[in-house]
Amino acid sequence: MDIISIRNVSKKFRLYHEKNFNIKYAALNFITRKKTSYYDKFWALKNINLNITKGETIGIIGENGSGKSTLLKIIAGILYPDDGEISKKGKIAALIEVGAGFHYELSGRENIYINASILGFSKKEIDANLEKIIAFSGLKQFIDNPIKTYSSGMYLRLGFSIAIHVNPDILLVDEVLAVGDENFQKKCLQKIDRFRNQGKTIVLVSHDLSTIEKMCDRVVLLDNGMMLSDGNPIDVISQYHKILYEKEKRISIPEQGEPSKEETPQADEIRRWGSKEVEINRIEFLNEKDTPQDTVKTGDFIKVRIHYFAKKRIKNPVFGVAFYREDGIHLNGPNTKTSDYHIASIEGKGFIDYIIHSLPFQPGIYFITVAIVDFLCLFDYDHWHRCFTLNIIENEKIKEKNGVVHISAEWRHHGQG
Amino acid sequence: MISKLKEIYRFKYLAYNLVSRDLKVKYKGSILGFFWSLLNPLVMLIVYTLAFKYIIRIRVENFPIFFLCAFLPWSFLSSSLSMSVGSIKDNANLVKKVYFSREVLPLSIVLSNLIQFLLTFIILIPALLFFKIKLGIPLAAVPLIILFQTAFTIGLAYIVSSLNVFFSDVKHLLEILLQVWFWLTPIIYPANFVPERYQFLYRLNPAVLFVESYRDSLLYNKMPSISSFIALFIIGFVVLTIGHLVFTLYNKRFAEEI
Repeated sequence: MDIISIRNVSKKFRLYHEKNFNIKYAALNFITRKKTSYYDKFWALKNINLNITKGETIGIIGENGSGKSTLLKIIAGILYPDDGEISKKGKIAALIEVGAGFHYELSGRENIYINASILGFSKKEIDANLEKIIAFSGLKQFIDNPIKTYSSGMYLRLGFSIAIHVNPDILLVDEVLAVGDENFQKKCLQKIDRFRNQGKTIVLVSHDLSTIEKMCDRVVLLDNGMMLSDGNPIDVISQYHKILYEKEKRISIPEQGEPSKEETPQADEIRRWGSKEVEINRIEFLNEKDTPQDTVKTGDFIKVRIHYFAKKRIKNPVFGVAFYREDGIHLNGPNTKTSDYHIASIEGKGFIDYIIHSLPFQPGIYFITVAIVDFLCLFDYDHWHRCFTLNIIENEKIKEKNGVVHISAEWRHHGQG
Repeated sequence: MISKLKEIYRFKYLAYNLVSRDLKVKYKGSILGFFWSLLNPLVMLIVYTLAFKYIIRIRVENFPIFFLCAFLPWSFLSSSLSMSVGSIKDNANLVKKVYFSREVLPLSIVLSNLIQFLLTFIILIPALLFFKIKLGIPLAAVPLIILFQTAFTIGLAYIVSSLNVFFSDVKHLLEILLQVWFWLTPIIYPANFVPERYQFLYRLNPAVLFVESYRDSLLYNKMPSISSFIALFIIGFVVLTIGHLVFTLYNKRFAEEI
């Protein structure tokens, strides 16, 4: 069942030439019967089609100005589309900006009532949830102080706490989680997670791609008001990285010739990007004797060998790897710079080994990212995002099965008897 | 229309909050509190009585009451409009960031002014008794006139508040128009002072009928005619409907134009 259905939605903004468009202009326009426009049109969204099913968690990503927030505001009912239709079922709570509608002279408690009433809730509903809202915000001892004495983190806590306790069917969240401290962020994410489990629908807009990847079932990528893709988080986020990279390159290397073949994205290359001045040809998983392994066991020695070819001399390259669990959890992400392993330059063919003396991961399928970047870690030469898989199987010598990692450690007892 | 009303009704608690906040803020922290809102008409009463009864020597019986019966409803209308004209624009932060029925913003201002208007009857009724005005059945017409005036006021508040989002001059224009409108309404003079040949034009101003109906039922112990009631009803609800349509039309672009 579609809880939100967006059909061919377009949104156009007017950018006025004069800062204060006033009656004078309107009258002049009317009298002279000239259709001179005092504004430029700007399409913030073009032909968006999106169906969201009940219980889905959807992420919307894209650069600043790509139309993410506009789309969210249209879903919320704050903006109206110029074209197309949108239908939605159920109660919506939107967290677009924390503290919108707060009154700084009034106390936290009074603001709970006012804020929840803005979201359309009755006094009775608020009374029933007041204690829970205060408890979740963790502001019990400040709740009767005027909120002008609060910090921005405290606003967030109060605002989020209200929005999530008014029990909406659809929760819209725009970037606001970025404000809170880590602890509260975690609490919010847990709450959102519980929300998901209750079969509620969530739409998240964020620049924090790792949160999006963790939370969302589906991700929508917007670029210049158009929907570029709609699919599983890993693929869409990789595509986004790729676009960002391409744009970066166009800025940093303005004199570009004809686009070479490599630049046209291929289906299997969707998770790979970079300038390819150095290319990673292949990677190998090797044991102590340098024999390639298909599968490895927990606790094994393993070498990840990255074969590269540098077309020209590259100074101060940084090599990196990252391990991901099957469910997307980012397990580690070391690189030669963080490990203080400095490579002065590379040219031509070569390889680098990442040596793990005792593989700590419990059995399962793992995804691996490898990359070569510049010394500032801003510019990708070649980035293979989760392109490789490693199958780890059970090690009969290790009996520990709980949890996700096996740490090479030992027990020592000191005591009487 | 029905679903729209339902949607507005969903935000009744917001309206309640806005009204009570408006009243609280107005009277909190001042010693005289609520009496400030009575003081204004009282001062006006004294000033206009001095000016028109004793200086200009207008010949009207019971001038203070004659003035109050028109001035109090007029204040309800004019302060509703001058306060609600900026109601959408002044709440830009809310309008841009939160979804809610924006009708609530001008609506709550009109309601809070209505409450203050009703409270001014606290001075009007004793004044009527003091001047030994004969009161009777026509008083029953007053609630109905108030209802029609409220509909009329809400309609106008919808129009001015939504236009003000697009044209910031509306606010200034309104100030002037209210001044003109005050003098074109029989508040400090009776309507029959206007020359016969201008009467038709003069009566195109809906406020004339409102004021005369208030005066008839409060001061002259005379029931307004059925045709006046019908006219007031039509004026009130036609303006409300037009206001609603204008507001609904412009509402779609509030968040981006504000």
